Amino acid sequence: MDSSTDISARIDRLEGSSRRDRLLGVAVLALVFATAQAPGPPPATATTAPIVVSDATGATATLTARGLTVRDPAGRVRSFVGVDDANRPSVDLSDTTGVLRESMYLLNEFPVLRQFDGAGKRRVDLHLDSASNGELQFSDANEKLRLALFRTKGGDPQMGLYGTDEKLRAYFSTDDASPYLVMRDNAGTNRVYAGGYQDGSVGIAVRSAANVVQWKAP
Amino acid sequence: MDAALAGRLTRLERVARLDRAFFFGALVFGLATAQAPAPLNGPVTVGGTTIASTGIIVRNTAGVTRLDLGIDRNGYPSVDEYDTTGALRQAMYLLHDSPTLRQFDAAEKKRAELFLGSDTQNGEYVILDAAQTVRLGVFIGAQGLPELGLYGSDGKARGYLAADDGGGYLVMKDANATSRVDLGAFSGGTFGVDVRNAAGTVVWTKP
Repeated sequence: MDSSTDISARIDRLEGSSRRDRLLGVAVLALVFATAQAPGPPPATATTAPIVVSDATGATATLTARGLTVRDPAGRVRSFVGVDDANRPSVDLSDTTGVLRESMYLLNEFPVLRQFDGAGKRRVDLHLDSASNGELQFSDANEKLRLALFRTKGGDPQMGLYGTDEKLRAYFSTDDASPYLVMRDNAGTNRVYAGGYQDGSVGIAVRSAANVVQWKAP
Repeated sequence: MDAALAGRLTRLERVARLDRAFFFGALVFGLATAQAPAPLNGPVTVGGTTIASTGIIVRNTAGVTRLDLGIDRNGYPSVDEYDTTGALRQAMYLLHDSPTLRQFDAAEKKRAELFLGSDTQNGEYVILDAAQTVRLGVFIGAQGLPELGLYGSDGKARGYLAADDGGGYLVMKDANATSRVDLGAFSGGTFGVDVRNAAGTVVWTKP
């Protein structure tokens, strides 16, 4: 009878441990199904998780739903292509200090290429204006406009040179009749005019600071 | 009674061994295959497009690279576009941290460039001939003056239109680099026009 009792106790323990083992097995199996991934390329179908590709140097390329970001081994963003935080399609290049130096994007749906100096100041701007005319602008370190190639509101092509005060000093333009070159002083007075006049004649004139013609030919 | 118990015991011990083996098998399988999200250590390729740690490369069906974006082999962030022969035709990049946009002909000669000067960080746009000699440039010069320059095949200036705060001026030079025509603001603050001979002597001036 003692032997039977002993065997019965062993059986009870075995039954208990068997239930625990089975539960553990099922739990591990559930973990496997939840986390197991087949080796190979990432799924071609859409995923919400970023794809990060790295190398031994620490450089990374991260593909997200917004675009591709490339970081150097120091972790600084150097290149980006995609849709930026303001929802503009954009290509951005940043220098070794992380300062944005060159950007090509759509600003209010108008194409823009901008180049920035090391202080982040805009120095070159190539874009289409609000009338979709091309325009190239150079600015100095104070972000003052100094040179521009563009079309006027009347549609004439023009090159303008500007002083440090951003006021015109010289411009060269043309209408359908003839080209003309104008030079101004720092008071904004036309001092030299060469080319076609509004009456259709062509000539050259030099004016004083008081805007009086000093010499004109023919 | 003992025989019945012994039978139950034998069955239970067999089931326990099976369960334990199953448990350890599942555990080993889980450890072997479970992966936490982590960076990929190699390039990912989809068709002709490859994403590597340094950026993205797009190749055509012939395997010719047509576009790459990222950090180039010199460490410059860049966007490069190639023609069907694989020749580089357009590149936007930071050359020694200086922003640059370059366009190349089929021989990969630089023919147009929009950039900031490496010394002044002033903007500059130049057009070059097939010998890569600058023939036209608009820029803010080293003195901070905006300027249009026209150049001969020798790369020397033949004409330029510039302006300082005093006014604009136009200068035309001959092949010997002698100024032959000056029009606009003179250095003394006056405005006028003069014509010089090959020796640089004024032969006519107004007013």
